[in-house]
Amino acid sequence: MNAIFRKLSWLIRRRTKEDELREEMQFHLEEEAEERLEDGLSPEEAKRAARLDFGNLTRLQEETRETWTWMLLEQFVQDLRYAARAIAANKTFSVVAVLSLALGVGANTAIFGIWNAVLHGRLPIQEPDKLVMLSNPEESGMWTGRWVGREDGDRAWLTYDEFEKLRDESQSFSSLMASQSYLDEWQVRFEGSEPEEVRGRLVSGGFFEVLGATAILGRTFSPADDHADSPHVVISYSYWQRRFGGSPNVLGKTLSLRKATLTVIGVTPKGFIGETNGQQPDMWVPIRMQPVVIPGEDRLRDTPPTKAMWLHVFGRLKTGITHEQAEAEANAIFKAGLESFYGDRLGERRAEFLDQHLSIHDAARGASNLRKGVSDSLTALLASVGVLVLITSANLASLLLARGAARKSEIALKLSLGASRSRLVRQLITESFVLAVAGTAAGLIAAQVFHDGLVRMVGAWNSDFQMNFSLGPQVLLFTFAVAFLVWMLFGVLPAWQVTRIDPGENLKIQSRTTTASIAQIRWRQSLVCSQLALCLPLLVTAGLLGKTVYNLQRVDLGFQAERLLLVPVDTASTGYDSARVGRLANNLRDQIQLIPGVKSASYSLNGVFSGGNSHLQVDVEDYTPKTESDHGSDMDVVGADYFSTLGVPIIAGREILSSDQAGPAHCVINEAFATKFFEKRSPIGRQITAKEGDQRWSCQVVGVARNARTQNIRGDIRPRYFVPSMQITSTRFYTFLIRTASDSGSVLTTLQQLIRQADPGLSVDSPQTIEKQLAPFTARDRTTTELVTLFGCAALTLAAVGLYGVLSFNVVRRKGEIAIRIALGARPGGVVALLLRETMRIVFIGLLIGLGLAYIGSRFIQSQLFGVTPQDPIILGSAICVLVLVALSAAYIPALRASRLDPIVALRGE
Amino acid sequence: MHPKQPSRVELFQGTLDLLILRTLLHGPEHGHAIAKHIRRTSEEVLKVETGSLYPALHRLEAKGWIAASWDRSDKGKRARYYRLTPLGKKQLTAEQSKWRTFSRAIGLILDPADQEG
Repeated sequence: MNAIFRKLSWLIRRRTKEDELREEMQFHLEEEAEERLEDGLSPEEAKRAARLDFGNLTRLQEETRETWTWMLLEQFVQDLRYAARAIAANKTFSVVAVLSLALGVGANTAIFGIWNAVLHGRLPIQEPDKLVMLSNPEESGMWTGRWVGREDGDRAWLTYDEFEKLRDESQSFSSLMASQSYLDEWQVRFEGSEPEEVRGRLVSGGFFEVLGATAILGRTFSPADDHADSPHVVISYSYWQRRFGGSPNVLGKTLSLRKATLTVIGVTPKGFIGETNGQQPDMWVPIRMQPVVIPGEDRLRDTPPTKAMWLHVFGRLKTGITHEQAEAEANAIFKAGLESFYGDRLGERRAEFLDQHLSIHDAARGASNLRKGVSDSLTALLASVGVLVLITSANLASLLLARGAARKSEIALKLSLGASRSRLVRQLITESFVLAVAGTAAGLIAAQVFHDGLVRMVGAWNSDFQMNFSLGPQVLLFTFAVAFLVWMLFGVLPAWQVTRIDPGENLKIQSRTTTASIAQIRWRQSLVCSQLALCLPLLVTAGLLGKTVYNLQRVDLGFQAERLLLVPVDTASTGYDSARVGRLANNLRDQIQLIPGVKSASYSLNGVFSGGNSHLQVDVEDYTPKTESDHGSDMDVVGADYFSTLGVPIIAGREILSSDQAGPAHCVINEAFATKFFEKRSPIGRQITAKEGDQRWSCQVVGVARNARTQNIRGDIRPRYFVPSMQITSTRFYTFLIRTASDSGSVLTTLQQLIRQADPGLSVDSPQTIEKQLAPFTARDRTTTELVTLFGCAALTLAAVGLYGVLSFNVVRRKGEIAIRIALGARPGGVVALLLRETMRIVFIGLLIGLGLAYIGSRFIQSQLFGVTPQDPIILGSAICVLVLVALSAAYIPALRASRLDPIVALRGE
Repeated sequence: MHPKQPSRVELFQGTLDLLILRTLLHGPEHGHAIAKHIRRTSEEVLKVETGSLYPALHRLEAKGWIAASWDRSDKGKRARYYRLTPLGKKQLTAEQSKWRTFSRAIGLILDPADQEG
């Protein structure tokens, strides 16, 4: 304890201590000299002898001082002061360094944050590791009919009946809950307010209990809410804050949602997002309210022959129950349910229908329909931005090396005056340390800005995506790791390299010219070489993705995309029966066609690029299925003039007409259907029979239409057939397709009036153009391409600057040699060629390494490519050309300068 | 630089501390005198380098085994005098007995005939 106080007091009395030490040393020297004097030496000699005997006075003082206090700390403070002076003296470099570090660290932090949260993030709930799922975490949506969603029969979602059976009969789970697998967008209207758009989902009573969330205001749902109608709603913390300013009066407020009137009963805790990663619902409604929230459908009961599968089921296992035990028991209950549902109506296809099962998945990360789709893109971005930060640090390192070379004699002097090398390195790295700390701090702020941009970007890929910025321990660890790596690269390596000089040798040369050692040049050359190598994969990736987007945007849809309006109309809220819906749609179509500016109009069940699709099992006349599952076809229900409105040519027979009403059922097939099921036979007049459960529905082919892309822009066009809306019962949702003559503005207003007149209860989504509908299909590729291209250009520029710097430096170093060459008769062209040849060696090695990296990198993005292979020779070739051209132009200027050297001036200067 | 240079022995680590403490047992002394005393007493065998002496003195001071104060030397010059603290005395006793045990052990192993002191 005393020792600490003594050191502290010494720290305070530093100045005096310094003087005292000097005096003490002085006294020693005098004593020593006096002694020598007594030995008979002359006063001068005695002094000199004493001095020699004493050794290095500065170093001795330094070493003695070290015992006084915590030397490392004190030196660190000293170094900080020194660093501050150095930073102030090199303003441009410091600003460039801090800015590029801030950008690099910020972008890395932001992308890693989202990458980590989407791919590995755990749900912010209690004990996420104990949560399991009985449905597929990576899928969201709904399936009606017979389950053929997956080849292996694994169910993606469950029906409510199936969930109830599991909840009531299973012994393996301490609790189970179900939630709507996809996030809904609802138009709600609080009493006395304007309608507003919110995101929400229907959940079972056990939802909050299973996730371990209790309300911070009011209450949440309880399992009892599954058994009685409870017109309630629980809202999220962020919605509460945003919409109600956190007022406790929110409890008891009522809102209307389609046919439901609901009362707010509680608010979830801050940060609670529910069961799906990457989404932030505003509210949750008890699943029992489904018939009024989604009117016109009963999704609470399995009514033969169809099942509506739309729920994720989550649960917590009882202690001691393994996944296998729980899975076996759940499947037993599930199978028994299927048996009793299908009964003995199935006949010989029984096995096919019963081939379904449940799998238990770990649900610590929650459900996410995003994980599978965007992980590749995010990983590509993370890798690119990582490469970028490496290139940036290499440039900074190169600059510091150059500065170190300029300070060589200063460093040599310090070393010869007794400074130890480690002490000098410490002094040099403190400066870069301060820069790194400042850059990282600024980077953490920049990360927040980048995060918002990235969330918007991913939101364009998947509109449900929502994520708050948070610096969790993993993200911070990553940030510091990146910052540390960068600091090692740009600060520590050059410091270590710069102090590796022989002071005596260096001082003897008394270098006026700032020459650098061969080793230092090598260092900078390899830095530039690796920069070039890292550029290539970025350029190649940018090229491949750019080609992909180009291809995607030029996919032949099979019809004209311009001047086509898509207007989705939901008839569910009118409560009409299907016959009336059909008449309504037909009447609307007739009226729309009369609007001036409309060339033709029709409608379809699945619309164009709406995300919806229908798939059926069909028996085709004279076609024998090759395998058991070889009889599926897509299907659409369409209005009259569907094909002429879209502009899809009919290649045989006729299209669907308004006369296709009563009488024998007709249909039109696409080319893919004809090729698959009819091969070379003529399809006209043949029968197609759709099968759903034990129901059959037949129609006769009256026409064949050319293939058109209406659902997907990637992949093959699948067999599809189109049935007239007036010949089929069902459906409550249509998308109107309107071909306009020119500008659609005036058409739109009339259209909205028309629809409102037809029935005020119709819910109309905003009209879309094909371009807008297509945007989400290419958004991911487009933004990834833009970002990677941006990173690629930045990387290339940095590498070019690095190359330029190294070459200029090299030219200065070899001034004497070049001057001699010129003096001996070398021509300017020869000098330029000589220097460029040497540059080409660096570029060539960089290219070789870069090609290897590009090959590895392109394998990761292979799945994203469209119409281009990772080894596309044109893209590889162009990337190499661009790189070589940029490298040569960066090298040309210093080479030219060297060739114009005046040998006399240069040699005199040596 | 000395006229006669008897062969010198490198000091063991930590031994210098012991020698300084022992020297100060006679009374307060300044750095140069301590070095001289060690050299003389060891019959010029042990020469304390100034490079080790002053860091050692300041280290011992930091530990509280010796204390320093300014005083006039015999010739009337200002000098920094070090003296043993009670804590230093205790330390000296402990170190001395440790050293004796150590040197006896070494002596037992080496041939007694080879021993000179």
